[in-house]
Amino acid sequence: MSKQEVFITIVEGKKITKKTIKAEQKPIEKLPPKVKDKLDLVLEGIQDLSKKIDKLKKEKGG
Amino acid sequence: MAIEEQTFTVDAKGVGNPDFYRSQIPARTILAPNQKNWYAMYSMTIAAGSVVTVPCVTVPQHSRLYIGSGIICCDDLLNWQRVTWSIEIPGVVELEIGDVRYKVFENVIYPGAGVIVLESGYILSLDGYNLDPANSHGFSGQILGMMEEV
Repeated sequence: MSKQEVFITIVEGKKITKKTIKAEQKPIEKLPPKVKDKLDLVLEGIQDLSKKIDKLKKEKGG
Repeated sequence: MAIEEQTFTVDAKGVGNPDFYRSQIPARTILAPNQKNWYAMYSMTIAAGSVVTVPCVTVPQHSRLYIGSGIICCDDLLNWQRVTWSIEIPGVVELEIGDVRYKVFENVIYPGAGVIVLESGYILSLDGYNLDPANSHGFSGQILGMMEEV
């Protein structure tokens, strides 16, 4: 664990406060799952739907 | 029909103001006397594969802070990044209320009835993630709100 400088500016009405603090920095223990682009998600959804439609067609003999 | 040339005489009091300043007010605050705009900006560099916890604000005694929106941006053009924010009610609970994945920039808005209200003593903090496993990056977060004396 280390400390990282954070530069802060706060404006409240006409009052401006500037300061620097030391914030806690640590390695990410577990990376979250990779985010897919929205288009990829839409395409996956369409593919899943296509597969379901094909499956239904086969079941109905069409 | 010809448009007549008009001239205006601006007295010393009006110098620097729009010519129509006596009758028009271009911007009028909608805040009450016990309310003030509240803006905060946080800038930092986060090491590769690290997360920084920033204590943003502890609401002072006899005050209430309304959060209307937040902005996060970073100089990483390639990777998705992440920021989460939490509210701590000391001695009661710490609750994560937001988690956003973004590339370069994101704006989160809490409009109308959805505005976040922080009472006296509440603590708002941000966790800024740098999900680039190889490079450190610069990050900047902004919070826009209103502080009210109660």
